[in-house]
Parts: sequence; C-alpha cells; structure tokens
Amino acid sequence: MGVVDSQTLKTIKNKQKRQQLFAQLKHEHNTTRHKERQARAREERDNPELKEKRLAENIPDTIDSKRVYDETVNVDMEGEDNFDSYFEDGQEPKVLITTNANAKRPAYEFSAMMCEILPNSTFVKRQRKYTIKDMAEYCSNRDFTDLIVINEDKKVVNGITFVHLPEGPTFYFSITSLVERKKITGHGQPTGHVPELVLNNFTTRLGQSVSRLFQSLFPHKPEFEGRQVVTLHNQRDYIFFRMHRYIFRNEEKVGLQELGPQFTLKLRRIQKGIRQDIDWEYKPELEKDKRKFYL
Amino acid sequence: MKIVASCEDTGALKVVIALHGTDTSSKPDENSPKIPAPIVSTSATEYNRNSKVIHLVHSQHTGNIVVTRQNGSVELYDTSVLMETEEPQIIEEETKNEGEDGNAKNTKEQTIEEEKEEVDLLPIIYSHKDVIPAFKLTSDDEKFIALIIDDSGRVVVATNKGSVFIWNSEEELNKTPLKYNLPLNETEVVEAFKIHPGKENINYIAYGGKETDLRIVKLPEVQTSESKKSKKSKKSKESIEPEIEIVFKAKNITNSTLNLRVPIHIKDILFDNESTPENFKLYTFTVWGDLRIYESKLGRKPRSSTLILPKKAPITKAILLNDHIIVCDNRGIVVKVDKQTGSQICQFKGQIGSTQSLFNFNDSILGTTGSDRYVRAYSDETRDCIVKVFISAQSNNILIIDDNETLRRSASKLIGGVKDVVSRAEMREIRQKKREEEEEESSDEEELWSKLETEVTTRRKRRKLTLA
Repeated sequence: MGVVDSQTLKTIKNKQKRQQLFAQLKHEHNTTRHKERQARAREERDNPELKEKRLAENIPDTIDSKRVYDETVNVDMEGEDNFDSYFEDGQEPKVLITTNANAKRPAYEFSAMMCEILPNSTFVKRQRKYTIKDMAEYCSNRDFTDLIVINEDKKVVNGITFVHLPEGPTFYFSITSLVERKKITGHGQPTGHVPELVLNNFTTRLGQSVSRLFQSLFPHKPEFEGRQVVTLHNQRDYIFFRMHRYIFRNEEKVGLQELGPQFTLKLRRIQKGIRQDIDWEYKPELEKDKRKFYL
Repeated sequence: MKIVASCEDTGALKVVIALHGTDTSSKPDENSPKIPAPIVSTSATEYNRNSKVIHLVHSQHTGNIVVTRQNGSVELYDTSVLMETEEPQIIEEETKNEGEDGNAKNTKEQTIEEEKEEVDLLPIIYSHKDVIPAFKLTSDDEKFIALIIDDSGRVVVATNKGSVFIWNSEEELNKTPLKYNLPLNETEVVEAFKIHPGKENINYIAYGGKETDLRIVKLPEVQTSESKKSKKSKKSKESIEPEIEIVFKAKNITNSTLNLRVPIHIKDILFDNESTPENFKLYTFTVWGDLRIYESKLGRKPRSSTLILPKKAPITKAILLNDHIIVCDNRGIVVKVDKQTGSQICQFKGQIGSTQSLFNFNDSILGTTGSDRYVRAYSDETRDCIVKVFISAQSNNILIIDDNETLRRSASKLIGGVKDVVSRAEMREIRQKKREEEEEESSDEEELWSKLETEVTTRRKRRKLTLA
C-alpha cells in the first residue's frame, strides 16, 4: 500500500496500520521539505539577493516583537534613588554574601560561586538568630554596600535576595535552571579580575532600577586584562546570567569560552527599605497578557 | 480633571491636567484618538529626595495647598493659576477635516500649551522653615505624621513625639504656631492623628500608634483676643500641658483564645460623620488589617474588631467616601468596606505595589497613587478607572482639585477597553422598552390562549360526551 493522504488516514480503523502509514506520510513530507530547502539554498548561493529579499519579506512574528506598548520604555530617570551613592558619589561596592538559616551543601556551593563572580565580596555563615534586618544593620555599620542572601530549599537553590545598604531597596529574585560550572563542557576557570558587565534589554523604568542594582554590585572599573564578561540578559522578564572569557583571534573573529555558572533569575518582588513596603510584586495575573513585559 | 501629586524621588509637585478617559499606558493613536494627551507639569523643582513632601492637603476654605516636607518645613502653595488654566479640549474629527482652519486651531493650542509649561502652576506663598529639625523616615527622629486643615480653617501639624503645632489660618503660616504636647508615656509613639469634624468640635483630637491605644483629648480653647498674647507666652510648654484633657481612652480588645494580649498598632483613624463630643464614634485601622469601631457612650472597648484585609497587610491609608470606608494597603489592594460590618463591598483594581494615598473628590471620584508611578482616578459609582497617567516618579500624596466633566459612562471614557458600554439611564430605557414589548406580546398571547382554551375545552367536552 502506497502512501495515503491525511483524509483517508482517518478512515483506517487498524491503529497499527494507521501509525505506520502516518509515519510514512510524515517521512515523505520531511523529504520533500528538505529537498525544497536544498534547492532554495543552491539558488540563493548563486544569487544572494534572493536570500536577502526572502529574509526581508519573511519576518516572523515573535512575542518580543509583538510587545504591548509601555510608556515607561527608555524614559529618562527622574530624581534620585538609593543607588546614587554608587553612581554619583563613586562609592565602591562591598558585598556580604550569606545563605538562609540551616542551609545545605548546594547553597554553600552557590555562594562560593557568587564570591568568585563578585569582586570585593565576603561570605559569612548564616546564624539562625539574626534576621535580614539585623544583618543589614550590622553590615551597614561595617560599610558594606550590599547584602546578598541565597535561599535554598530541599537542597535546591531557588532564590536570591539583594539588599542595598543602608536604606534599601530589597530585591527578591527566584533562581531556576542552575547549571554548575563543571557541567558546562569546555568551561574555563575564572580569574580574580574584575569582570566587565553587559546588561541587555532592561528598558522600562522598573528594568532600569533592576539594572542599576546589578551595576552597583560590580566595581566601576573592570580589569580588561582578565577578558572576563558577566552578562545579564533580559528576555521576556527572565534574566539570564552567563559568564564568559573572550579572545580576539583576529580583527574579525572573537572567541568565547564559557566560565559558568548559568542560571536564570526572575524578579519576584521589590521592597522599599529593608523588606518594608512593596514597590512591585509579581502576581500571576500580571502574565494574563503574554505580550506584556515589565522589565 | 486637575490632579496634584507629590513626588518622592524629586521632592517636586506634579500637576496633571487630563480629561476623563486619559490612559497614558495605551498607545494614544489606537484606542483614544479623540482624547488629547494630558498636561503634566512640575512645580517646586528646587527640592530633592531628602526634602520630599510628606503630607499634601487642599484647603476647602481658600483653595490653597499646604505641604509638610521632610526638611521640617511647612509650606503654602497658591492654586489660583492652576484653577484658571483650561483643560485640553477633546479633538473632534470635524476639525481635522476642516484643513487650514483646523491646523490653525491646533497650532494655537500648541502655543497655549507651551505658554502653560513656562508658567509655574503652583507658586509658593509662605514657607515656615524648621518647624521641627530635618528627619529621616527610617530613624527614630521626630517626624511629621499629620497635616490637617480643620473645619474652621486652622492648620494643624502633628509629630510622632506628640507635638502639635497650630496656626490659626493659612495667612499666619509664617508666624510662630501654638504648640501643644499630647499626653504620652515615654515609650509611646503617635502614628495616627485626626481632628473631630464640625466647626464647634475642632478641639477634640484623636490619636494612636504603636503600643499607643486610641485616645481622644480636648485642647484648651484659645480665644482670638487672647491668642495674640498667649502666642509669646506659650513657648513655655509646662503652662499648656496640664490644660489638655483626656476625654476618652480606649481599652484594648479582649485577649486571644490562647489568653494572650493582642498587640496594639494603630495606622489610621477616622471619625464618623455622626460622631459628637457626647458620643464619639470612630474607626481605627491596624497594621494587621483590622477595622475597630469605637463608640464612647457604649464603652471603652471597641464595639467590633474585624479583619478587613485578608492578607493581613498593613493598612496605609483609610478615607470615608460616600458613607463607605475606602482602605488601601502596602500590597496594592484598594477596597471599599462597609462601615458597620467591615465586609468588603468592592475593589478598585489596577495598582501594582503599595498604594500610598487616597483622595475623596466630592464623594464621587476616588484618586489613588503609589509606588507604581501612576496617578489614577476612579468613578465611585461604577468602579471604572477614568484617568490613568504616568508621572515618572513614585508618589506619596494625591489631590484632585477640580473636575468639570460628568461621570456618565461611555466607552471612550473608560480605561481597559470595556466595549458597548451604555449609561445607566439608557439601560433603564432599554429595559422599559423590553418590558413594554413583552407586555404587549403577552397580552396578545393571552388573547390567543383564551381563544384556544375555549375552543379546546368545548371540543373536549364534546369528546367526553361522545365517550360517555
């Protein structure tokens, strides 16, 4: 029996036969598609204008390109905020990293990684008796500019809190898709140099505050000889963390080596002061419209 | 609609002039082609974040705006320029088609707008500096906690340490105020402060705060002739303090089921309109989202204590609107609550983040603002958001000064794209028509049925007869 069309396929009552025929049908469809593509590629190789024309005509609609209008995109920041000590006065960051109380191995491993990534940071083991408010007070007395609390639950790192000192604000992000350095193939080892920072796509007013937070964690002047870059790329309100080492192979080619780790952050809450009034909070109903983004 | 909001990030005052239906969060061309863009202008630009506005009050007597700032000053702003500025007109389609004339009109409008931008809409009149020393909101310094213009036109400012400063009128704002000290224990802090409504009852003051249960005191009455003399002598606090009389002191609610004392933390107080010095009736709102109703005649304990916010979030502000209570918390919830039972009537939706301020305009419009950098106005009757304007700075106070438009419901005036909205009157008409039609139909049907019935019954009778 030859290949049938999809309509007759529905009339076949034997399931095994139907599956077999459907596989054949699909295979045929794929082969024709591949042949078409090959022919087109050959044509376009000879005549590159055709490819340009096709690409210009055929722009796919993505959720990003269909983004809902937001008047706060690329608006100039008005007034001052609590990060002015870094941006205006040029204060160098000094970061304290700790975990949740009763943390397990993954949290310590993650905080060790964070210590490597963030220059001028120290790790202190969390004691159960101190709340974030207490810690913030002690830290600001010791001239720390930021406090980072890593949250782990059932041996999975699932959240991170950034407290800007001395007066807030507090940012809470959830962490997903954490890939450790050793699991990345061909990864390198980071050096102690101050990395460069790439902040991608933080456009709205809220995004600006988030990007200012990340910027204020790294010293003003990167050490270029280290050739290390930390990238925080925002896409559809998910922030992707990546760290690379680059090398200029020649005038055109740049080589990249991933240093890791990889993880994804999602903004859950911004609070005024040290965990006080809520400035912005993620709610499921904010995602009712798939094309609306907040960062 | 003319809205004034205070900016936390800059310390400035923002004036928004917008028509009903203005929504800056949607593209102006697609959804509301007829409604012009709102005019947003900034006044009092010489301030910064450390001298931001703490309270913003509109005087019903003179129309001026009184402001307290974080640098410890109290200021008076004139609104006459703002009141005179015209609202942007609705752009009608006809003017577009007119061609040259229309263009000329548009250019005129533009020039007017340009002129408006240059003029300071809120010029400062008086400034009384250093009423208290400059303070930080996070520290234990003395802070402003209330600014009230009472029914007789006095300007009253209160601090968390229990100091009350009273100016007899707005014109006397640059003079030294009368100062009173509220009776407080050492550990007690005032967080909520309200003056009794009614011209004759302005000396009754209710206050409360963290571990400071509700108290009502009566300030000594100062006669106008004496007041001038007394102002100088009143710098010595001791002579005044004994005169303040505690009229009502509330008792805490009964212990919990575990027989534990319920902590006290009052965030806001409201006097009921029916309250009199003989029988104070007032509402307090706690950090844990409780509404407590007090009636002094019936006892010192609250008549009821009900949880009105389910998430137990701190209530940031409460106002009376149209004989209901409107409450907001620091999580972006604004609800209308019944005065008697504390049950939720409806929600005003749209806020993200904490709502800092509510404003009641003529018992018909609710103004809200907060950390999401928007000012919003809602129609009380329909709960529709009628104005939503981005002001690019976090705001902690809002005033609606003027509104000339009717609150008639129409699709163009609504934010959020409610389709085919018909006004209530129109709905009534439609319903009446339907009813009439139905009645007509039913009357016809009745006739038909009655005819049929007679025929059927006769036939049946015949049949029965035949069978028999």
